[in-house]
Amino acid sequence: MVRARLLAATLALAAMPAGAEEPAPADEPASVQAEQPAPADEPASAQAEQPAPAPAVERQVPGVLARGVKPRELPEDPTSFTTVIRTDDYAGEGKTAEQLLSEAVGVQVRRFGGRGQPAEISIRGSTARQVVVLLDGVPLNDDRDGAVDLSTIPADLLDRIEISRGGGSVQAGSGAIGGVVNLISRRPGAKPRTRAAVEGGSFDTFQGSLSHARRFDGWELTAGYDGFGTQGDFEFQRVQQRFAGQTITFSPSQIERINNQAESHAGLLRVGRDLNERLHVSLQDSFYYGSRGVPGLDSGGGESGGQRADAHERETSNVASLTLEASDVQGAEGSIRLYDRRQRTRFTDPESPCRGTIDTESNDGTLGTQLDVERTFALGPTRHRVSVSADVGQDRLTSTELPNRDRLASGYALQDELSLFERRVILAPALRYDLTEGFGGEWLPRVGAVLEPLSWLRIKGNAERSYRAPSFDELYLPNQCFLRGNPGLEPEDAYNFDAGLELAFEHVFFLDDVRLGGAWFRQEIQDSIVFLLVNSSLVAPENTGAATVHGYEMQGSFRFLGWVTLAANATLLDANLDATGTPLPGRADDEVNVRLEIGPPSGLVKLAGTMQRTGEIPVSDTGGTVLPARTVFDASLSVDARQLPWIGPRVPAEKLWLSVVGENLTDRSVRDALFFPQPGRTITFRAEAWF
Amino acid sequence: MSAALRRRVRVSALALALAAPLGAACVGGGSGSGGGAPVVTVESPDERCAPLPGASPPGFSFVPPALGSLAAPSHLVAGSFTPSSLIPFSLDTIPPAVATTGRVPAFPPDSDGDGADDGLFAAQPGGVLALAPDLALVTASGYDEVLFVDPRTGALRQVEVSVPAGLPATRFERLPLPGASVLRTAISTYACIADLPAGAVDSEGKLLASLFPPAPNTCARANAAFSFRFSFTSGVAFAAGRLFVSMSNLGDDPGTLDTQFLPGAVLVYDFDPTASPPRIAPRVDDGVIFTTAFNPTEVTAFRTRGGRDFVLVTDTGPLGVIVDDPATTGELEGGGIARGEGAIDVIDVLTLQLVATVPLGRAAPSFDALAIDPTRRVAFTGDAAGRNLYAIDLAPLDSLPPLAPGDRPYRLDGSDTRVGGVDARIFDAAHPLRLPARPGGAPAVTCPGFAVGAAFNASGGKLFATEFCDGTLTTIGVDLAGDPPVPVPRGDHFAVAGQTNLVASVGASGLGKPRALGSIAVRPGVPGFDYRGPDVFFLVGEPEGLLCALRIDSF
Repeated sequence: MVRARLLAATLALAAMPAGAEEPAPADEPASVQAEQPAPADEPASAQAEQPAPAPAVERQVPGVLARGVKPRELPEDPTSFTTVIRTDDYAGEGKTAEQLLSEAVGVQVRRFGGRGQPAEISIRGSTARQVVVLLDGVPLNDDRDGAVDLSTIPADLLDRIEISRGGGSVQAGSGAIGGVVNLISRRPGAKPRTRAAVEGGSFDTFQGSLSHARRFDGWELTAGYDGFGTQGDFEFQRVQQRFAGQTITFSPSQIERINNQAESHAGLLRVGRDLNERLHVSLQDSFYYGSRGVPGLDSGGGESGGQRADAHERETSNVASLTLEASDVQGAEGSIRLYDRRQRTRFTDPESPCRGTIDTESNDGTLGTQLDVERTFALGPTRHRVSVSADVGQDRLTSTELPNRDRLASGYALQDELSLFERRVILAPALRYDLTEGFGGEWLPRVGAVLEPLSWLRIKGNAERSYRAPSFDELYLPNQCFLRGNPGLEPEDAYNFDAGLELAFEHVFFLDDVRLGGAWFRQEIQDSIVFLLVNSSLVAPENTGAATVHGYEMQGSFRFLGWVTLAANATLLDANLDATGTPLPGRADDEVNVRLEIGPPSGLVKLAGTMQRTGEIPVSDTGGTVLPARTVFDASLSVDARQLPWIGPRVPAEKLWLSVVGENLTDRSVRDALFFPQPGRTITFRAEAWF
Repeated sequence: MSAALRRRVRVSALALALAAPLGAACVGGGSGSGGGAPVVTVESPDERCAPLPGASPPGFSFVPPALGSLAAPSHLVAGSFTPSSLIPFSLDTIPPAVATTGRVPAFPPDSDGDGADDGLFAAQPGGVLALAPDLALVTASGYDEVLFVDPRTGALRQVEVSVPAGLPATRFERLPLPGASVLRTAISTYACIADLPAGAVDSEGKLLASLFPPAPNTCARANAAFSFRFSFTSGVAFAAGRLFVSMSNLGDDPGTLDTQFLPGAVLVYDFDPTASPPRIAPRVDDGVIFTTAFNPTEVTAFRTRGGRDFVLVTDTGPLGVIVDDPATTGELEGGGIARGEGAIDVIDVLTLQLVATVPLGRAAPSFDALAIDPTRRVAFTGDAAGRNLYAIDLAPLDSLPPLAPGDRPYRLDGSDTRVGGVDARIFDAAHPLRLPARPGGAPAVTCPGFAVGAAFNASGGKLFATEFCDGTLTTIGVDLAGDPPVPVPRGDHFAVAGQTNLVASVGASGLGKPRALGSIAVRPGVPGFDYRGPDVFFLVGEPEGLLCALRIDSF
């Protein structure tokens, strides 16, 4: 059933004719030009053969270290440690959003099952609620839970993912203690682009996507669809527990993940228009529908292992925004955006062990507006880029479980990017005043600095304050068997510090595009909200004592002879409760990612392999229970059939990647959370065409 | 190229591109067996304690060196939830050490002990009682049964289950038909009962006849005004060749303020643990004894000074869960609350009559076995809803007159003239023995108290009591010298002598530390004489389950 629907949708959309090539319009929006000085729709290997044009417009972009190897000089920018993941660099590999994020430095992703099951992000040891996720600038964090489920993000419809690590409350307000993830959807490039992809693989998993982006007569259009389905019925190994010299495991020791099917459909539509030379308006809508079983924990015995056979969740969400962008208006540029995010979630379980039949529905959303204005000017020897921003949002919740709630939140920020000595020294002080209804106002100062004493060396650092107001669930969840909210919670409060350096060399001996980077970070958190046993029959969230997270991030990449690209990163994390020195649960103490890509510059063949080593993960707050470390290998082999002599001329596409992708090749038993298994070895075949 | 040819090419390419993914439907996936099963390491954060797999361990029991022996044991067995199992420990070291070299097996998903895995989940252990070096009993409320386990290995062991021919076939649907005799690793307590009086009510006072009308809702299926199934097997005791199993009979709305309880009961089985294999059989006519109060949570075998054998039943009474008051935004109300009367019922093991009851008021007596002093004069219990201890005087039991069949039990609260108005209450809801709160402990409004259990030292001069919320061990000085009157006067013979912070309080202040203090037991025998090593053992529930040991020279 799922396969048939995906196939029908993909074939129907494939009937759309590919667009004819058009010359690049002279009046492209500045934002697009600065991000992609070379055509945006070509992979890095192809771009390496083209001369890099100078950036046309300066733009405020956080400090960027792009994944993989980019031969172009990165845009100059302020101080935060940011990674940019360009999805086209992974053409043919079919990476999901959570896979791309998990391989980034400083990021850990916790998965609660295979594809289609919830996944959450941690940046520099944060919780998922402490990371703000934006879609083209619109916050996606739902008001009930405060986190974003990464499995709902369709990577095929994204152009890139920007991960800003460290406190981001000045930028994004409440919630950005760990950082900010900005998902940037596909935009029209110099010429129309249609992409289509279909894949199928283990556990009856299928995914298909189709997107089209073009500019014409002052209009721009982006449309995309992504569909996914899986049975998810993988076999897995039960946990063995080693204690006091003994080992015990559940009976039986291997069972099947039941009720793990998932289906989702996501779409994006953006229409934009240049009103004149300076004004551009765009209307964007993205929707998501997901339906999945909720098997829950495998913490029991028997063939089902305690999994829930009939629990089910259905989610529908929509994010709409209307944006007016202005450039060079009396020397300033800016934007104003009105957005509306809505989400409906229904959860059913006919045989909940505690509550009997459960059938709940909640509707949450945010109606908001954002204003950003930026002006650049010189003042004596200094050059200033001053930006002022304001955002106001009304969160609202109606639910069959909770009393209806709403909450007004607003924030007002001022930042000056002050540069000296031809941008060899940049100072970026900023201040935000954030007001959340029920919690009063918070002043959030930030100061950052960048020194570039040499053309190949950049030193940067930041200090800032961030905070997070409790979510509706944390505050108001009614008594549900043994779980309840706590209306007396205070916001989480944190101070973030980081410092590091980046080195970039065009050539080092026989290596090209050598990039090295390292950073130290420290986060001091007060009043962390943790769900705790508070009496013999109740788990509730409580503000807890001080915790400190500190660590190191290291990354590097290079290319060799144009055929080999190697990138690696490592994150070392030490996250502890101050009072006891015991670890914060759920964070691996180290993670190493290595990616090797081999293939000719023409892109005919690409062999890509990744290794991810995740250190031990403490499960309990005493550190007494620990998930083992593991190393997982993925690999993919992609061939651009368009370049094959015997088939190429018959292929109407500009590129036709045919790939086989293997994940977890050594079939390791992987768990990010104690009683949530993940699948073993997975094989997927994928076809991806660019027109 | 013609339009038709272009179309053919396009379709061909598309088909080619789609063929591979569609063919991938045949591709299987791995099972994660490449590196073997994931091994989770559980280590104790406390040097006094051994880790257990899974949080909130349900209970433990000393293993006597022989059936019925009161000599000092050298081992105990502790229950675990994840996975369900019973783990043997030796008692000679701090922390205790696992006492088997073989791998401890997890309980299988077998609903009735017939060796076939017919259930979706494994039985969840509750009460634990070791009778002999090779036999322990574990109550399991998931399928409602009592498991038979070898305490040396933690493995299930077989027992001969005989079903008397005269037993109604509808009584135990998970036992073989009447007249059969089979080998099983458990005895079912999943009973359908249709023998209640017409006016029987639930804990809310509603008539059972209206709640469980006849067919098709009756489980007795025929000739029954109404019937209902027993549930929530809680405690087990062995006395005089009989097994006594308490059934809390939990109804609707668990975990709420208004949790419903159906009439509580004790099931009785004939049990011969000395046979090879041991033999057990439900009793036909007098195998169900209804308690005077709701929610019986434990049974304790007791022999009086005069040699009379009784089973004391702890009736916790209907227990609700305090809900948060939304008007108090700065506080999170919670904890247990007694919604009805609690009591200690007395069953004569020879006549199988409930012969007496000691009402304790709205006391919520706790779920652990009663703590009985070495002179067999007093029995203490904790409080599931407060920082209190309750106690009864056991002396009147020796002189209880026979009870005619059908007569109501003697009420030992001073009101029953049939027994001379004797009052066996020492500490009850109106006059509890309060345990001190810990300075800076768990907030009282969130965790008002839960005195889990109590245990006497070898001499009987001290009583140790554990409190869940604060993580404290309170020592009560007990002086029963001189044969005090009945009931033993409160003020003169019992006094709080001291308090120790054993583990952290529950709640935010306990994060990062062991907390949720549980059951306590003192090793039989005289420390330093009958045994060396630790003398006091206790359980900890969060975040890891722990079995802990102390040497405090409790004698």
